Amino acid sequence: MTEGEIRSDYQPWLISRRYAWLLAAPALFLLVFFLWPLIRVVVRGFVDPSFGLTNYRQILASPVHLKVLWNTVTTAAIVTFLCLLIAYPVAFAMARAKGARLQIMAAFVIVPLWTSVVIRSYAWMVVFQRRGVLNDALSALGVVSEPVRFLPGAFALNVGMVHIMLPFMILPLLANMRAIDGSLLRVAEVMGANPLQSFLRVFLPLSLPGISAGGLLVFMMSLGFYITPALLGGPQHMMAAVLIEQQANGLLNWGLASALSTVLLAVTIAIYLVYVRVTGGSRAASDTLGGGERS
Amino acid sequence: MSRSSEISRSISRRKAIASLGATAALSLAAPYLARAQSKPAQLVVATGGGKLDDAYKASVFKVFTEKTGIPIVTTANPAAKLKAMVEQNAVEWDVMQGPAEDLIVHGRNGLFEPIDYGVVSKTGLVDGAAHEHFLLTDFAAYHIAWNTKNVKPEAAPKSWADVWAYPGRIGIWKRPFQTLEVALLADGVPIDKLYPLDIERGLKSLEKIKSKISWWERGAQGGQVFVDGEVDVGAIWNGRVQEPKANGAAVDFHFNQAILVSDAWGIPKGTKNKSAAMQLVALNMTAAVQAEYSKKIPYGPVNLDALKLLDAATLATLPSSEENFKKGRQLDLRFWADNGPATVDRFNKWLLS
Repeated sequence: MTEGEIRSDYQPWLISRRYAWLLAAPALFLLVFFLWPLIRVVVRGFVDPSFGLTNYRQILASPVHLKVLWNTVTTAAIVTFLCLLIAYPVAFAMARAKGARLQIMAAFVIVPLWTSVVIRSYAWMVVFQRRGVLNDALSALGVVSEPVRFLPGAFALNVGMVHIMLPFMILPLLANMRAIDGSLLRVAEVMGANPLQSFLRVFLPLSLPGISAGGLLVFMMSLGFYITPALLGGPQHMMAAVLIEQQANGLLNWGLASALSTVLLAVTIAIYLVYVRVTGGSRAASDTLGGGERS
Repeated sequence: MSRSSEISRSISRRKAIASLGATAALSLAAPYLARAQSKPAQLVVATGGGKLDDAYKASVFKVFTEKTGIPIVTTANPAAKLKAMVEQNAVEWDVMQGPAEDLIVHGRNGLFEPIDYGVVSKTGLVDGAAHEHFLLTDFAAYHIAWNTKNVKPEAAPKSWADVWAYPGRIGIWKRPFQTLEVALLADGVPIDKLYPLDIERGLKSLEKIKSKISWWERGAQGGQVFVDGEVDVGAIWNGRVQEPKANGAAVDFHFNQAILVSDAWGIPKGTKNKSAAMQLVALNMTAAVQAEYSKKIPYGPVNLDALKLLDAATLATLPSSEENFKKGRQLDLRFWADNGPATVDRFNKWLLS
C-alpha cells in the first residue's frame, strides 16, 4: 500500500466514532486493574500510617528523598537528549529506506526489545568491567595502560539506559518522518534553498511532533528505571524506583512508598500537561500513535 | 478471514473458556475438598529460589512428601506480597523463607502465626534460633574474599582492617546491613562489642575507602565481581564463592571476622494449612534434615546435632561448624529490627553525599 492510498480514505474521526464501543473492554480492564489500584496507592500515601500529610512532610524533610527525585529527573532528561541525538539520524535514514534495507534496519531497532532489561543491563556490565570487552580493546589499541574504571558510573549508566530506550525514540520519529511530504523539500529546493536550509527550515520543523512524542515517551519511561541504575550507576545515581522499592518491599513502609510514587506520578503528569500545552492536545495523542500528519 | 469463520471460532473459544473456568473452579475448590479429609492437597512455600530452592527440595521437601504424601510447590517470596495477602486475608503461602532480619520485622508487624513449640522441638538448636514467630534455619557468612589473580597470596587480607588498607578495588554490598558491621570491625571495634552499632563511626570508616569501593547490589552480581576480578578484595556471602572456588575459579575466602546471617522460616498469618505447615517447619529443624541441607548448599545448620552427621570436608565449608563459628559472630537481629528504617535512611544519605 502506498502513502497516497492511505491518505485518500483515512478519516480517523469517523472510524473512532463508529467503533468507540470497541474501547469499552480495554477501558474496563484499565479501570479495574490499573486505575483502581493506582487510586488506592495515592490514597494510601495520605492515610498510612495516619491520616494527613505525614509522609509528604517526611519526603520534604529528608535530603535523601529530594536528591533522589532530582537525580531521577536529571538522569531521565540526559538520557532523552542523548537518545534524540542518536535516534534522529537513524530515523531519518530509515524514513528514506525501502524494501529489504528498511526491514533490516527495522530489525536492528526492534529485536533488542525482545531481550529483558535485566539481561541487557548485565550484558553492559560485561562490556564495561575491568577485564571487559571495552577495556581489552582500549588496552590492545594502546589507548590506556591501566583498565579504565567504568563501573559503576555515569557513563556506563547513560550508555545502558540510552541503549534500552532508543527504540522508543526511533519509532515515533520514524512514523512522523515517513509522513512528511517529500514534495515540500523539492519545493524548497526549487525556491533556491540549499540542503541545509531546506532541512533546518522545512524538514526539522515538520519533524518536531515526532521529536516531542519520542522525547515524552523516553523521558517518562526513564523516570521509572530501576535495575539499570542499580547495576550500572554509582551510589550517587540512586533513582526514585530504588528508593520506592526499599520502602515497599524491604521496609514494608507502604505509606511512604505510596507518597514517593505519587510524587513521581505528579511529576510525570505535570510534564505531560506542559507537553500538551506546548504541542496542542489532539496532536499529542495521535503523534504518539504515529498517525498525526496523515490526517 | 471471513466473518462466519470468525464467529464460529469465537464460539468455540467461549466453550473452551467455559470449560477452563470449570477446571479452575474445581482446582480452586480442591484445597477445601482435601481439607475435609484434614490433609491439604499441597503446601506452598515461598523461597528465595535458585540453589536454595534446590537444596530445600533435595532435603526437607523430599522427606516431608515421603512421610505425609503432601506435595510441596515453591514460589517467589517478596515481602510486599506477604503483607498484601495478610491484609486482604487471602493467604496463598503456607510457609515463607526469607532473611531473618526481615522476618523478625514481619513477626512484629503481625504477619506470622506464632510458632507452636509443642510441635517444633528446640532440641539441639543453637541459642537464639527459636523465636516467637519464626525460626532461624541456617547460617551463611558475610566474609572476607579476594580474587587470587589480582591479589598475591602474601597480600591476601586476614582481617577487615587489611581489606580496608588494600590499595585496590574493594567490593561491598550497597546496603547498611552487615556492611556497617564489617566497617566497624575494620575500624578496630572488638567483635564482641559490635552492638549496638555506632552508625556514625561505621560511616566514617566507609568514608575512608569511598573512592576504592565498587558496590555490588545483588548476590549473583556480588559473586561475579569477585570471580571476574572486577574487584580485588571485599565482602561477599560464602554461598556465592564456595562453588566457584571449588570449581577452580580465581577466588578465595575465609571465615575470620565473618558476620553470620541466617535464613528464617515463618508461617503467614491466616494460612489454611497451619498444622501441616507447622509439621514442615518442625521437620526442617531436625538434625537429619539440617545435615542433608548443608550437604547440598554451604549454609551451616542451626541444629548443632546435625554437625555430628557431617564429614570433615563438608564441615570446613560451613559457617556454623564448631571451628568456623568461633571466628565470627552472629548478626544482632533485634538491633536491626529496632533501627532498620532509620539506618537505611542515614546510609542512603551518606551514599548520596
